Amino acid sequence: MNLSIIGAGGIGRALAQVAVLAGNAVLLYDIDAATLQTAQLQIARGLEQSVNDGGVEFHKAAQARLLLSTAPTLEACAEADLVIDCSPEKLDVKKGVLGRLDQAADPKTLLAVQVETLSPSAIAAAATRHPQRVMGLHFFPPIESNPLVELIRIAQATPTLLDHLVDLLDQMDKKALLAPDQPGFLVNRLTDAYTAEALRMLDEGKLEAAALDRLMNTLGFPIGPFQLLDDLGLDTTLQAKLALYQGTDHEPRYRPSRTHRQRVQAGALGRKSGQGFYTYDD
Amino acid sequence: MIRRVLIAGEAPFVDALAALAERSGCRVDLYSIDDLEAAETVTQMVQDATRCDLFVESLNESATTKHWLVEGVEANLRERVPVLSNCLVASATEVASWCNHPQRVIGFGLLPPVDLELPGAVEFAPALQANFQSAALAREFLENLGCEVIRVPDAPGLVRARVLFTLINQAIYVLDSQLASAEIIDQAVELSLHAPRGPLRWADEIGLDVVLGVLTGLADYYGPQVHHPAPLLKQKVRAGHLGKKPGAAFLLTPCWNLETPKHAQALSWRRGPFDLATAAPQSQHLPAPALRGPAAARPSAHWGAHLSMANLCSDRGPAPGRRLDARLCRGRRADL
Repeated sequence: MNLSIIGAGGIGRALAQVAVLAGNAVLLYDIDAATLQTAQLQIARGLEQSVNDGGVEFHKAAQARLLLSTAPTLEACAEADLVIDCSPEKLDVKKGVLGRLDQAADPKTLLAVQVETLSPSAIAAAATRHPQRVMGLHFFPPIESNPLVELIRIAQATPTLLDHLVDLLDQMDKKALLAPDQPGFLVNRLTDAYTAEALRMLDEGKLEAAALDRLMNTLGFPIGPFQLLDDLGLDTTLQAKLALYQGTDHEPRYRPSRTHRQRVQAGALGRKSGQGFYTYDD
Repeated sequence: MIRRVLIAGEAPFVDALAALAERSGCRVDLYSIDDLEAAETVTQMVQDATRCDLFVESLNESATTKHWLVEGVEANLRERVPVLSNCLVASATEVASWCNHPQRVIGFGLLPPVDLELPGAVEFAPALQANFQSAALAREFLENLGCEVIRVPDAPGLVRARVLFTLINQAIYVLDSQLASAEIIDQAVELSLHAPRGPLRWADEIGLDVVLGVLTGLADYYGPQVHHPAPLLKQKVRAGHLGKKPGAAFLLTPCWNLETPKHAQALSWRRGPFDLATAAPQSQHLPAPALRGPAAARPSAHWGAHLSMANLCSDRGPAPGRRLDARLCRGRRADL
């Protein structure tokens, strides 16, 4: 399948790597030429790394590398069978990208938007003339190895589009879950309870984060709530919790935790910043 | 030295505890709440209470029934016998407040399914009133079961159950709002949290009456805003769909697969393991789940006759108690 990916940031880059490894021709585009170049190098390095780790055979990685190319303009990406928009999570940016793609692409071309908290229905309705070909996707980090992906169905989407996307995701070893276009979609709405309750206990000051994680490990959860927050990033998760809280008209059980907010304000963003609920040396 | 243990409460908690205690070399007198509806069984239990070295209680369908059981049995225990209470619906401190000798109440936290080979960790929370001696005895007993004992602050649900039941409650809210089917919800949680099993299946295994009891306990203790039990959970318990056997209450109860064309429609084109369309027809022919309504509040006055009965027994010296085999715990009603 011919695939275009808009936005060569963390998500777009990782997705491109997974897609080429699954044998799809990928056209990568970013508004910033330097980012695009870095992404290309990082993908090549990522593929090399996966060969060194023994997960991928050498000739497969070499083939995959040939499948990746970059596009000079956004419009050049419209030629593909499926375009996935991985631009930054801002409503104006997403609307702009989708609007331009909608103008340039054939009405049969499928458009998917990677979203964290924004509503794909709202983006599609505002930016495109053919919202029935638009679909929301929500990937979970690390995209290279996490099989979970939410397929967010917008009201007008056609079943063929869904089938097509499910095929593609199957091929990339992803497990697609159909989620409604609601605040928190499905996964964030469900898993919020796990981390929110743990954070409430931390707010109460009865237990330390490590002790609570350890207790949840003994119950069979390999990743404790605070380890999970550190892995996903405290800023991202706080954003998701705020969106859920606001989207549900301030339902008390979604109220973000005080400790969580304080950590983000203090710049402790989790594993990526070296400091979250735990400290990371590397 | 603990040689003889009285265990009372509900399946599947007591079954696991009894099997573990028996393996550690204790003599176990096991009473399931279902059997305690018969007066002669209660009498039997009271007799056993006068002879045991430790009383373990795990009854969490409501604080009222827990109160009934603990108050009645505790009054008949010898003075230094510790009481181990599975603190899901009420804190150990609250349980102790119901007792004549509050200093002997120790809370613990154990959730099914328990792996008998490797029982893992157990939460340990002495009541505020507890003394050192009881705590030490209780800890020794739990360690002998093969459990790792972790000290936690005393509160309803302690730590693990509080997180787990909040997650289960949220899953039921999502199911109730028809955002996704039970299978999809379980899969979403298994994949995103790497949970050992989906929250709805877990709820079925624990028993929905216990889930409701614990959430009510949490709501009483922490306030109703966050832990308010999902309306659907209450309806399920009222309907007598209590789970226990995996699949009875949420996953395979016909109403969810038959009466929600919204899901069927949305998922009709899905294939592979997520396909609901193939799961739906089976469930139509499932036998109805075993019905058992929420146990009615049992008045404490009910104990009057038994309390005097126990005194009688202890005067006469130990009567030969009927020993229940842990392996025969299910369906033991006929044996009695």
